[in-house]
Amino acid sequence: MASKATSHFVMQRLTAMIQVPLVIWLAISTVAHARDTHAEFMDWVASPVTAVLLIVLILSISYHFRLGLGEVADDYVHEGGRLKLTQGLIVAYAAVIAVVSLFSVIAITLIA
Amino acid sequence: MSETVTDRRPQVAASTIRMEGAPRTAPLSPHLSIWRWTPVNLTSILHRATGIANAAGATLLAAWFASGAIGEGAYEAVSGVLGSPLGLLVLILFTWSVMYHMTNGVRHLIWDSGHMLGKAQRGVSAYTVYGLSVLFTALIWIAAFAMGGN
Repeated sequence: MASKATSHFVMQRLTAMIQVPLVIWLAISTVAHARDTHAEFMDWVASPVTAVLLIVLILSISYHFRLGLGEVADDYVHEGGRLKLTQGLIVAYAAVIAVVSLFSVIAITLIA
Repeated sequence: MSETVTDRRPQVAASTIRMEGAPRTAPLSPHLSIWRWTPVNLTSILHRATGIANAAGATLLAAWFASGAIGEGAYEAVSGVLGSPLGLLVLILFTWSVMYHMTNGVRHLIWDSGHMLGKAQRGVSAYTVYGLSVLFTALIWIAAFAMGGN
């Protein structure tokens, strides 16, 4: 990729395009599985198509909001040290969400 | 009392606005308060606001999957919280936030491809985004309540 800024631009749009069909799928699936018993929920998450789509969605979403929140911080956090700290917290939050979600989905596929 | 209409729009280019003593040379976003609000520029700030809300809402998604992995007790507890009146209210607002960010995001992708950049199209597409985001949210929740009846 030509530069950091170009890569940021491209990855933000690429993850956005990935997420449009996946978010529609997740919304419909969530409506269908909102009242699942624990066993039904485990079966749904553990099915190969669900697990794979969830993993792609989790990776895409966490990277997308890391970029987006980073942009907001760039625009509104003015002091150098505080900006670095804010960016660090954003990366940490995105990493926690991604790791917890990925680990959970993978664990469910192994348990169920 | 004579009343004068003051133009509160910025008198200088946004790129020249700097925070006092700011070490960075990059241009800063002007504060929200100086803009004259219209339905069209509201789409822009709402895109950011819903983006932040969605990032926070990702915690709910993570909690849902984590509770399933932890066990039946944790799963029932999280389902109970999300199914409570306050939980449902948060989920409905979160649904709109996601649907808004998605539809307005598609609008941004269309702009990135060089289409619909005209002034009139900007207005029409803004109202389309408001309408579709509310419609999608309504459809999702009508389906959700119709399926479970609680």
